[in-house]
Amino acid sequence: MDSYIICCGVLLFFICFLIHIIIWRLQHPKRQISTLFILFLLFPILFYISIHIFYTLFNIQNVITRNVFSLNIGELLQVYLLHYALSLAYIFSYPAAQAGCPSFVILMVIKSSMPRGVTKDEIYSYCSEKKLFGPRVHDLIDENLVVDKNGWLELTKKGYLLLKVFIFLRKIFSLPVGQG
Amino acid sequence: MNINFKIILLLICSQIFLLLLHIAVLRNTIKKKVIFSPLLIAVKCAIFGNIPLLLMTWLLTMRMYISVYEKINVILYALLVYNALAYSYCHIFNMGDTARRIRMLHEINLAGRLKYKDLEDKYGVKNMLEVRLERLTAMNQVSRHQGRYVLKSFVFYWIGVIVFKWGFFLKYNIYPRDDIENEGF
Repeated sequence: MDSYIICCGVLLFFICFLIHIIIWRLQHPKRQISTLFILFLLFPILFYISIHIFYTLFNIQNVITRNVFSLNIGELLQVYLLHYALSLAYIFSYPAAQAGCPSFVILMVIKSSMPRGVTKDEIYSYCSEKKLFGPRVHDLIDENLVVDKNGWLELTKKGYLLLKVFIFLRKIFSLPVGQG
Repeated sequence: MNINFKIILLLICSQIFLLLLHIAVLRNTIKKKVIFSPLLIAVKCAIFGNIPLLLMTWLLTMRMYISVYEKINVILYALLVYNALAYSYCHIFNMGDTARRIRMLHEINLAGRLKYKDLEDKYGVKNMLEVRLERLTAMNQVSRHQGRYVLKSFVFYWIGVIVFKWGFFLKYNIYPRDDIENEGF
């Protein structure tokens, strides 16, 4: 295996990563997780197709087209696998940066009180419902997992399906459901 | 079969191995009825999975007539992809265990439909923090002395700092309250 494959996979990831930063710095998309998935998972395929179109229609030959077309199908799959592995790792880390993971909030509050430490009530007083609870309900509505019907929150089919996947996962591990 | 496809197949199998290993270890730990952190078990299984992966990759490259440089590249590639996927696997598992959104979906599903206030009562901030304090204690990140919580390890704390800084860079205001922006963050 050539180091070129590793470089291509990492480079592809960083191109998507850069586009993600530019979009997010300009304006946060409404459906953020869906947008991230589309950007990281579809962009490389569209990128390849567009290079292919340019190459066949306009016979444009440059460094990119030459290098991309020198890869065989197995090498191309390896590049995509590396890119997708890195992308998934980032996408799954992203919600903590977006929504402020409560566990990290607890650790920050405790750290700021060291060496004395803090009581449970002091930790609670640092966290507001408005910040940790409300935005997550709105995320569910924005992602079309929950629908607000005259003040009543109901699951959509998409939300129900997602929940079923997690319930199934908990069951195969013999773990109780709904204690998170 | 082409060597490129063999590597891809090996990496897919490594994730199935991780899943099966995790199920076996977790079920065995539950049977023993000891206090444990499911996430910590997932992380340990993921780290352990590097050993059979390295062994299999090494065996695969041994049969190939390629240079040492290329063999190193194959091993590096396999380690990169495996660990990135294993990291995602730990996140997916952890989402079922801790994610607020999944818990909210579960509460709504149980009730059929819920008012915002009812959901808040069932899964408010107090409940949310209580569960996490227990989990951080089980993971040896915090400990409790005379009713006060203190940091036991700085590993998760520093991960938290990086995640918070990244959130700010992406223009999110993720302070837990609007009025404590300069208190230890």
